[in-house]
Amino acid sequence: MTFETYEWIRAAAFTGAGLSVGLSAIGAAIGEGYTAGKANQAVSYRPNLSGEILRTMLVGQAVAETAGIFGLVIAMMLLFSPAEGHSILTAWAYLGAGLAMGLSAIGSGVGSGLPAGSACEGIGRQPGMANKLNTLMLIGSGVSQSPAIFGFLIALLLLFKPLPDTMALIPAFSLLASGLCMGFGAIGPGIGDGIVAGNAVTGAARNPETLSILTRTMLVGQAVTESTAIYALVVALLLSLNT
Amino acid sequence: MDQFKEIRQTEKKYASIAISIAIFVGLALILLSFKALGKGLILGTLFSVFNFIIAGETLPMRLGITRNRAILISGGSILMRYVLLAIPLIMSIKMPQYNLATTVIGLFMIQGLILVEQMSRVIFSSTPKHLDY
Repeated sequence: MTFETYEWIRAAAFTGAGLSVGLSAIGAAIGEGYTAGKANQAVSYRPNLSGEILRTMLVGQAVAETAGIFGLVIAMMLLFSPAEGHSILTAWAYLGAGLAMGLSAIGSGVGSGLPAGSACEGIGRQPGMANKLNTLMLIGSGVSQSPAIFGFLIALLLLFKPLPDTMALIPAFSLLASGLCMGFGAIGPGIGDGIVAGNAVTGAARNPETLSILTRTMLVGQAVTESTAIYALVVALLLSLNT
Repeated sequence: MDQFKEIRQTEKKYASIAISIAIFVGLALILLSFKALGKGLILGTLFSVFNFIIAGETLPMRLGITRNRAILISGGSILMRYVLLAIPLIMSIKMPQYNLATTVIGLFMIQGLILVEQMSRVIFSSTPKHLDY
């Protein structure tokens, strides 16, 4: 049984869509679940602050969900992407796009949940610091989303890049490797950013006088943590532009 | 209950600002003859707001009930919100009246607003050491 080129492309687009939304949902769900878990813990010993803690939980979960929405956007684009009249290389690009987005969103989803969970816990400890802890949490969570944004950019590049008509093994694997490089390269930095931000929020709740120095240390730490995601972005760009 | 009042206030605050920005920018784009861009932004923002409101409104339903029921409601809420967010994307892909790029921007309106609000609080704070306790 033989298949037409457009059928292979369509099959790759569907597989890429499944990978994108499925993998990104893992990260977002773990991040949101961690936040909710810590919020429960905080409410259990500070029931009178449940309103403030639940509000922080809701906002933190909304930010952690961003990675899942990125995955959903790429999945929808893949599901409705054109197949007829395109070369078989398009199928490899679609698979790469799904992997780049899905894998990179895992780290960011988990990472964004860590400071949100710490903020819920911290508000239980220092109710007077609620606004400042929320700000620190949201800055930390926002930076944790950047590896997913890199993955989103590589996925868009793979989706819309004009490709040659002839099939060759090296360009095909370059497109797939571009997605794998960005996807795997973004998991660690996403979680690492979250660990930095989560501990900064915990530290600020423990010792409010150190908030200023903790914010600076957090941003420097996140910038360094992010560097490996930038290496992955550069290599993924080189791989995708090599076709 | 009091704690849900705070959640509702948060929903109201972000939803009203997001909708106002979308309508203002969307109308400006429509008046400048970029109809698809404006419509896409308004569409995406509307669904982003629905998603945020549903997340907040299902919170009370998930508390104080049996574990199995909580899992069922949480799972249903997530599934419903994912389907809800897919609707504007499918519409903008299938219908040329809506621009896909601005629809995607609209979908991130609530998250963007939360981050911008907090960042502006840090930047435009009146005291120089704004983050000091």
